[in-house]
Amino acid sequence: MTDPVLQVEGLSVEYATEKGRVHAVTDLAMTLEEGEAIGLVGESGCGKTTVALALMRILADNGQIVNGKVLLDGVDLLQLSEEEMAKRRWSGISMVFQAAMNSLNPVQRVVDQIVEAIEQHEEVARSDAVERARELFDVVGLDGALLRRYPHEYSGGMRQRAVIAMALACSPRVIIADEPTTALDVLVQDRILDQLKEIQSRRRMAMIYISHDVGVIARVSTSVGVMYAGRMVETGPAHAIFKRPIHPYTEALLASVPSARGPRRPLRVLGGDPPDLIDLPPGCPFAARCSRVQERCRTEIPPVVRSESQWALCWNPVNAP
Amino acid sequence: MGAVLEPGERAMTGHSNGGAGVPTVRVDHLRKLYPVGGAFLRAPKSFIHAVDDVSFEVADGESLGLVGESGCGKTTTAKMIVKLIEPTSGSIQVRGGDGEAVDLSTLDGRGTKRFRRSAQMIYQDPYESLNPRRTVLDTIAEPLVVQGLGSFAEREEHVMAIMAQVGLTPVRNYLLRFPHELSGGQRQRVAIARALVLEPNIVVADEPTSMLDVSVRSNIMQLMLDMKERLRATYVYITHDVAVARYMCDRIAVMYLGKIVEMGPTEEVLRDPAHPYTRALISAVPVPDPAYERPRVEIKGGIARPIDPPKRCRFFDRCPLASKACEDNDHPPLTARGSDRLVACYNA
Amino acid sequence: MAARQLDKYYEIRLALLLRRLRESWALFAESRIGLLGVAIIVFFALLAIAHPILMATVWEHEVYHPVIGFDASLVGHPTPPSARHLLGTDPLGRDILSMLMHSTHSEFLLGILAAVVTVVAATTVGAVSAYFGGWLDSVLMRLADLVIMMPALSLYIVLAALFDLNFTTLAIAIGLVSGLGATSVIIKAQAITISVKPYVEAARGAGGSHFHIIVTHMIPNLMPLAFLFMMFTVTAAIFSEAVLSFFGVLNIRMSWGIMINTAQSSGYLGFGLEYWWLLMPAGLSITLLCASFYLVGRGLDPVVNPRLRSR
Repeated sequence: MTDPVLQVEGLSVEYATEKGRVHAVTDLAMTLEEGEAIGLVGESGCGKTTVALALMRILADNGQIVNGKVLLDGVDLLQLSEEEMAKRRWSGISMVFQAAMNSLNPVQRVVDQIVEAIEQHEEVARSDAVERARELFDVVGLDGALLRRYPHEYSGGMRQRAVIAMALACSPRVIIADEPTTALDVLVQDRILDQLKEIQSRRRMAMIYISHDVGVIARVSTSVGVMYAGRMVETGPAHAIFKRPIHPYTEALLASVPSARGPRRPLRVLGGDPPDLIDLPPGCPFAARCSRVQERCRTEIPPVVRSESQWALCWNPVNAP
Repeated sequence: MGAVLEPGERAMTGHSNGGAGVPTVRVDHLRKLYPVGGAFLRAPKSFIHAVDDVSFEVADGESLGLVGESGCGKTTTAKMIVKLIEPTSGSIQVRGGDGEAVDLSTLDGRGTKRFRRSAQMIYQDPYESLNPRRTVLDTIAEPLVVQGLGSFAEREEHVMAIMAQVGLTPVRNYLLRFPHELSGGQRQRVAIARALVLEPNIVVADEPTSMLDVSVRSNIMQLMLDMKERLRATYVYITHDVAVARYMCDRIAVMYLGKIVEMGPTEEVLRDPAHPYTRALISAVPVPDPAYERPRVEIKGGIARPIDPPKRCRFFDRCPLASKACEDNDHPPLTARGSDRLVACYNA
Repeated sequence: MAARQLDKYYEIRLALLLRRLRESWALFAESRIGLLGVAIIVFFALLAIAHPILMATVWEHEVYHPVIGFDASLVGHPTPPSARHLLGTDPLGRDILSMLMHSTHSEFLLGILAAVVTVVAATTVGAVSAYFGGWLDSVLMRLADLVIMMPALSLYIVLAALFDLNFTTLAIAIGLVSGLGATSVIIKAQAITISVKPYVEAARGAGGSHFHIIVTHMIPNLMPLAFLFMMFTVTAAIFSEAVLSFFGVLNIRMSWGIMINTAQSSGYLGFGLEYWWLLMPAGLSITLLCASFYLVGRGLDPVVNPRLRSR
């Protein structure tokens, strides 16, 4: 068994705001093998985008990684200097942002943007870089003739694919996709998801797919990480999480999502609101909304409950292993 | 924690076309064309066919879903039903709260204002559909103010009552808050309260949950079904998500490039779609089950802009079942398929 | 029961308004240039207030009156600053400081009146133009183009020749020129973004009339931006008046511009710094008061435009 491509331990990220310190991510652990696609799912504000930004080390000015280790092929990214990290961005770990349409330079031809990304990380002749851009477009299903066009001449789905092509340009070990299909129509989204899966499995790339859409996560991921109020409350293989969730939040979340197929079942309604990330309550962050809450949930951080390769943070798990 | 929402349980049984119920909404050959180009003294040469010959009925107490991708004309159709957009041709007949049927094109200014008491709209974006400078009370009371209903105190009481119904409790806490002090779900509750404060019997909802967080959606969906039952209202529900339509709508009409391609009871259409576009749409919707094997439906190309569409089936260039008949004839009419289904296809 | 709830409602509304004002002030106070502007304005306001007090107490009427005073005890006006006349006297024997302080309140009134006219004109034109569109929009925007193209000062001179411009009529003229020009275009652009918001459509859907929508939704959302431009109008008004008075085309008895005009027409301006007290106090006051309103306008930017805030 090879070493994991990405190993995250004890990651904690805070933001400094005038209202206080926001604990966006607390004590997060995650492991990614080669060829694995983990789907990070959770409601907005749970910290999933912050995790992505922290891994790339592109947090906003008021963001700070207060603790943790991020090992990419054994090298701790958090200990590197900015120069060394810049070398690894795009070639070691790259990212497809939310609203990716906006991350394309509107006054530059797309081919130039891709070539620029390549040239910044590798010593290649321009003609070779252009050739690689053509190949990448092929991989994402875009016509090579589009290369010389400007981003505004692309449709939404095309722009998304172009951005994915750019993220793949330097053959990264890990690709992070942050809600890449949220603004797209169903049929377009469908095709892009297929393409992404194919690329990922063919290149044996590790992928972190961030989304609040549980259906998309089910389609794309081999494993799932459920986040709540900055913590990873459950993680494990996709089929295990969906079939036998351990954590009550996972169970409630899955039960509240309507499905177009399969038997009609009643939808769970989840009351309450997520906790204030500045003033986190002691104990389990889900205690206030949990139907299985016990006294100790409110005061003590729950322990890890494990079942084979699936684990969760819970005092009173739903499907106790 | 967590009430339970039965799919379709609270929705009133509706009847499809030809049923016994008198239709509350009746749309006939509705068209909306937008001119493209054209200047001050020059007539425009092209038109966008946003809504192209759409006809349907919604029975009293029924919930009809208009389903489709962006640009299919579902929002435009719905806005014409509440008279926020004027149709280019075709008629819309509506049975208001007093039971009288009225043709929307015959309404003058005063008539339109009265009509608005019977038909209201809930918007998609909870962040943009509330005026950021007005309090919750102001926003929900506005329809009452504009319609000249009740004294100040009466309006305030009515608003507080409806706030309690939509779950903005304790009411005193929320009454004077501004939108930026509310969460997305709370804002949407305000939007729902505003739409329902006039007690309309026709409610058009434009994807009210698509911009909400996943964990909040089922709350709002249940709220909308509760309010529908309480008001005995008829819903027209716009969505691109067939999974949501399954829970909110008795019947759905699938739209493509301004036309309805299939219409029937939701559960049946989802189980057994007849039109190739419907089949592609349903198979493309991600299902929250990793073990699910979806049937692959290949359709090529992307959605064209509906400018001056040629006289053939609108789906011809992408359809796996396309034949010569589809190209030679105009867009197929909706024909009955079984007792409860309408499909616009020559080959399905 | 309903009446009791009402009382509390108004209290809460007032408290909300005060809190809003306090937050806006806090944001404004973060920018030092804004505070500097306010400080200068306060200084001049004190000058304006102090003048009638001084006239009623310490200063004798015949000597210190800003328009008709004359100091017979000194020979050879204009005289340089002395213990008796802190800023000296002008060629007609009047106390410069008294003239300065007296003019201050007129300058303020001129500026504010012009600003109010600007805001009303620009907001009305902008809102109506954006909301109704069509030919009304075209006409109003072409009018705005016309106004922008015209050199304002030349227009005022022509108006002064045709009419008798005093402080009030000048203020209205400046307000209209300022408001119907570039400001209305900018406000219209903002108004368009408001007119397409779903909440405006929802108001229409509830049965709201055009008037209701413009007054309830558009104008309140336009006020902050209009208020910002108000500040710049004050600057323009004070400056324009000074220039016009310098040319002597206005029907005004006393202002800072008149002070410079008097000095110039009496032939004392060609001597470099020899008669500095005839020029500097007035000139500096014009510059400072204009600058102060501009600085306040800049300080208001983050309050009006949330995207410019530092957090």
